[in-house]
Amino acid sequence: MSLEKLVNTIEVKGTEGIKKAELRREFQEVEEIDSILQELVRTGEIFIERKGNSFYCWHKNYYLQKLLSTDQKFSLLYTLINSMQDSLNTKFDSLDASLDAVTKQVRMITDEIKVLASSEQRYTGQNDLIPQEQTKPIGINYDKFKEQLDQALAGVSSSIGWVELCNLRKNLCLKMNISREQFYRSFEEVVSNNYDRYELSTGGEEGIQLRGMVHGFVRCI
Amino acid sequence: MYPYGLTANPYHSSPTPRFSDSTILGGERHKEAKNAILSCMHDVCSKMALSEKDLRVVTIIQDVGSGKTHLALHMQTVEEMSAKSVISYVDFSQISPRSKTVILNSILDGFREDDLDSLRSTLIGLIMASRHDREKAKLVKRLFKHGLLSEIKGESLEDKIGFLLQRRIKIRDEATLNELLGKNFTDLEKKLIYYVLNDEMKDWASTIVSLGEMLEFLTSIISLNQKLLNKLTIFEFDEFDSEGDSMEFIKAIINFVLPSSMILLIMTPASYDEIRKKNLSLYDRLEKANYKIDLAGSNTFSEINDIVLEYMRSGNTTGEFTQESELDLSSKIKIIHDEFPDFRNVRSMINILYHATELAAKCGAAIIDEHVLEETIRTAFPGLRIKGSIMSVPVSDFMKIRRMSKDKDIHELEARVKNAVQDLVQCTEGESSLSPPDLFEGAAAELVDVLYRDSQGDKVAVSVALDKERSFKINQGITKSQFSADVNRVLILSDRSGQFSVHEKEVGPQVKNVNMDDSKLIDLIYFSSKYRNSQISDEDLKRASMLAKSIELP
Repeated sequence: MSLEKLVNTIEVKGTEGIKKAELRREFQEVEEIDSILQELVRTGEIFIERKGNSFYCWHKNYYLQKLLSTDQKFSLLYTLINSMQDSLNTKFDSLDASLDAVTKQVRMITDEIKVLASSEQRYTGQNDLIPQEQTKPIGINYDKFKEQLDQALAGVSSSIGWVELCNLRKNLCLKMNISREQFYRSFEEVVSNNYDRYELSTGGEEGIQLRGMVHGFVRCI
Repeated sequence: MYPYGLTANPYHSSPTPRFSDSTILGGERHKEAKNAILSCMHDVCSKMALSEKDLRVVTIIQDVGSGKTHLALHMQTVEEMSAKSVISYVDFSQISPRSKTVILNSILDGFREDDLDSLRSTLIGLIMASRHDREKAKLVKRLFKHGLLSEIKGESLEDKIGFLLQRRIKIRDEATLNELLGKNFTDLEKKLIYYVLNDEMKDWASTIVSLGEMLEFLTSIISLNQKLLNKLTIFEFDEFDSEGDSMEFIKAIINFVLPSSMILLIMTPASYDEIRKKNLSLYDRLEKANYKIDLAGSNTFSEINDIVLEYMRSGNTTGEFTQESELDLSSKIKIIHDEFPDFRNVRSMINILYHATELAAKCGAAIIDEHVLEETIRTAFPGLRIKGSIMSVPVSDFMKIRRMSKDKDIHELEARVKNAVQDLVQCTEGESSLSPPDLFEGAAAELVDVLYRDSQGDKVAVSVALDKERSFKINQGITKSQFSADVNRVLILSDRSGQFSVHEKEVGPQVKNVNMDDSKLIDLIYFSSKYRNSQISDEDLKRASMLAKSIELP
């Protein structure tokens, strides 16, 4: 006898199931049929249940249907569990979406931290070339800033002398380790104290406000 | 009657200069720029006979309101320039849509009517002169359809030529005109002459679509100006930027190399930078411009002052605007320039002077004085305040005190500030708080200007140190702890920061150096003047308290 044939015989019977006695009759040559059936129950291939005075066997594919059609309580519980399952699935889906968004943000923050960390390392790596006071955040000294500003202006001037403040700011912020706000505060102070030495022009991506207009270009006269 | 005996207001009030306003040019830098343009023009003129392609590119790059447009328009009024050139002024800000056809039409519109009329009348004169040649005389008659019938009607050929000049008739025989013009002109030039004579040049230009034909058309205009008027052609492109077809058009002109001409490109640093970002090839050509006119420092006091005074000088027919008046007005302009960053450009300053001149005329003022300027600023710029003024000093008082502080010697100014400090203590702390400074003896007495008890009961000595010698004395005096016995605190009011190394002092009272800028000095003197004249209001009291706090008096 093949085990497959026995299982098929049970499956063919569908939700009706097959009596154990019938199986014994059909597979008379198999002496240990009870042990085999017990083993199949243990592995979950079949289910055995008493029905009236007889024991019936069902294949796993049909046992649930049999229960749903014969046991009202089970059917009710099954429906409830299913609806709970659906609700849980929906919750999990939205949780997944939120988690994705959070993961994305965390990844971005991590990347930014990495960039900052690498620039910090790069900066620290140049300690030999940069004076000590420039390697850490400094309180902005007017004269120091003016000196750096003049140097930067001399370094990046175009043929007509005008320099875009945006580029100048990036350059000096990095060099002096100062924030954008600190740069513009100091820049405005230097320029307003020396308005016959520096010339401002309108336009540019960023700059200081004069007469309600953004002045984003500067040059030394 | 306008101030200084002027018969009219020499300043203009338009937000951007007009041709009629541009005859006056002041300012060293602007004059240098004018000379550079003239020099370029003379250079091209000297080589004009060679009839070669010779285009000069001139760039003027400066911020808005610095006088670029004024300079461009002024060049048209310079006799030296108009005698040798024909100028087309094109304002790109007025061209929309910025297509090549519209730009070309704007170039034609940019020529002055006088120049176009001159070209047309020269052409008609040429036709007139042709009558003396027997063969050409026949062609002229044919051109004007002048036959026996005309003679019978009593119409002479000269009459018909006169009608053409007066735009009463048009000539339609293009073939005869071409024959009459002969080999002296190219086919395109002949066609242009036909349209110029009939006053239809702009209509013809509107039909030109390709850029190549447009450039040939411009070449023909330049050539006619050269052949008939012996003048070179100058194209002034104001407000040039990267919009629409502007860059492509200008780049084509530069690459094509027009004959005997100049292009003047006027732009702001921002638009120049925009061109760099959008069209590197054109940017490269502009970088290699023959002349780069730099109006650097056009907003400095010396430049603005000279420009403003030049207007007055030009209108000074009665001679009432004397050297002294110049110095007086100049000192007021200096204060406006220094104290109001918003007016640190030519356009704004001319605007103020326009209003001030009008107001002075209405008030019957002989000069533009502080009150006129204050009223002007108050009415024309109502939101404007003097930067850093706690006492809300009116502009006129500010100007007077400021001039006094600049003109008078430092000892007198120091004396006024000392009195003002005493007044301020008396006003904010009460008269009883003051003690006579002569409580001290010897050298210490010289160092203390005001002595008082503050609200905590501490004895405070105040020293005002505006001149170097006194500053040094005070510094030495404090270092030797001459105050230590009788005073809890010493306050040194100076007009220079970091003048004293008082923090190094180990023994004696707490010493503090307070730096007072110009606006605080003026606030103090203004307060003192009001206080002594019993004009202090409740609002003034609040402000006085703030002023005292700002110099750490209470």
